[in-house]
Amino acid sequence: MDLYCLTAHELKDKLSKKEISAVDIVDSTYRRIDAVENKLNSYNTLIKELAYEKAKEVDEGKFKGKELAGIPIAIKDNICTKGIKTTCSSKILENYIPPYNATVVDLLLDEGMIPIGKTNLDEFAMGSSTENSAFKITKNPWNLDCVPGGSSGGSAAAVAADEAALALGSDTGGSIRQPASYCGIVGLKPTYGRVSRYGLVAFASSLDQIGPITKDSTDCALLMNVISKYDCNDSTSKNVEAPDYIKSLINNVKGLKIGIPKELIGEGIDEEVRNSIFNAVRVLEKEGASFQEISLPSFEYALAAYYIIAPAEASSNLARYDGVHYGRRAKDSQNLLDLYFNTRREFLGAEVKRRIMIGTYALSAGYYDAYYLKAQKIRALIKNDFDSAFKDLDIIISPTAPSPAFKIGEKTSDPLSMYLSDIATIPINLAGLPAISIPCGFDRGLPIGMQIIGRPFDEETLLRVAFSYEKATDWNREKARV
Amino acid sequence: MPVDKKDTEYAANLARLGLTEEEKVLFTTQINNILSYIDVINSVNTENISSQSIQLLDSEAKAALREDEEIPFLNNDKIISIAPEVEENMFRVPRML
Repeated sequence: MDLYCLTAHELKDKLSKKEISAVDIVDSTYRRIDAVENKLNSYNTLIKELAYEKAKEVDEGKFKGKELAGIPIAIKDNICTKGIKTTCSSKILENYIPPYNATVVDLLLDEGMIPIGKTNLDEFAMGSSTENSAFKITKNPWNLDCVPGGSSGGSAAAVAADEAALALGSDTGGSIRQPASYCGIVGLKPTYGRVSRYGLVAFASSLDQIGPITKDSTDCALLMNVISKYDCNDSTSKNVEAPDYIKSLINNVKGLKIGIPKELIGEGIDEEVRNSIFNAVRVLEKEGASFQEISLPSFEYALAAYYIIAPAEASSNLARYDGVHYGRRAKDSQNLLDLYFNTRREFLGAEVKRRIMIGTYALSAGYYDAYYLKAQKIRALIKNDFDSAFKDLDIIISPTAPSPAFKIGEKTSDPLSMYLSDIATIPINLAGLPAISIPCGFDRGLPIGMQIIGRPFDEETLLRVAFSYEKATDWNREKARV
Repeated sequence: MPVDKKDTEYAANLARLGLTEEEKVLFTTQINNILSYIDVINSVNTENISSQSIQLLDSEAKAALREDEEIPFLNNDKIISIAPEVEENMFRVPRML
């Protein structure tokens, strides 16, 4: 079997037994990229020089004892990498070379991991299909006519197609979980504050989180061990010591209490998706868990609240893209104000402009109370609903998305229909909770994902359930044939 | 509440977004659709949620603060080197008015 097919933990075992070298792994990964990248468009930038430099260091023994030394990782292109283009898939940053690393990148490099490239995304992480990228459309490895999901579509496609052993994505309203679901792999959004946001180009600061996109739960746990560190450079980073997530990979769900919200399993969810979720829950039930239907009434308003709060925060965060300090600048502006208008007109995409305008409108004089303040109160109701549910339950399970991956171009003319694909993931970001998506079935050849939601800082239970489910089923061993 | 082209122009102006005439028309329609959906929030009873309860907890805010400490910043050259237009160590822009 080619090395690129293996999981990170399988590669780690071979490396530790000296059966292979880190350079062998990098060679195999780039050979795979050469073979399939023209079909998938997962990457914006490949970083071969750094990759081979790090691989040689690993082979020389520099990172002895580090669990993921020598493992190739793809990094979403909204995470700053020093000296390497970080574009956010936007024309306005197409020439931006950050002068610093994001904290997570420093952590990966200190671990001896091998950054392979920067992956494609919806522009500034705004989207659910990666079609909003200003540069290219990424394809779903399971069906090249379909989207890989978004906004971390490049990262998800790269891992699903073995163009990297694992990847980092970011998740504001589902952007790790939904593409993981569409691409048949594992994606975890950590608790808000678990992973540093320093160096993650901000979209919505109260919602964004970086997280792992991996082939299985073991790889997810390994990567969480690397990135889950308190960071004083991120004022929202929580100083809560992370456990060793590998210790949570126990095949045991006896006594686990599961809730399934009726709001996320009824109308609007495809029948095959609903069937797959119930089949998955019955597998867990056979292993000793119990489940019940619950109601989280505030969920009905989650999407609306999100599409006020996220654009409002985005309108503030994206005000910095003005052509002055970095990035592209429009030519021939007569004065400073023109410079702002012309630069942002020329170099920002339609979805970004739309969200900035909705956010500006929601925050403007006369509308702040009716929109932004009201949305934040609904957010509190959602948090309260979750808190009540978790008094009696250990986890909550839902579909990750209402359907499998849709066709490229199917939803681009109607922004609202695109937003509805995040209906199951958004409440989790609003409440700041951790959630993981794992594969649990197929519909006409396209993967279906199950979302498992946990209490704050209880990623351990999510990983234990994911691991137990993987032991009882074969979904995560299915591979896309690209 | 429905928006018209004037509202779109107002928001775009506040956000310093230059829009073409076609974009103004298209965005007005699209934003209206989105705001119609969002208007469902008006049917939610949030009387029990006070404005104070949704603010950052004092303890959380304090935890993020630290003493002011003067530390030399060594990355000036790199920051300046990636700017679109510079003069000495300043970012050059067109005149204000």
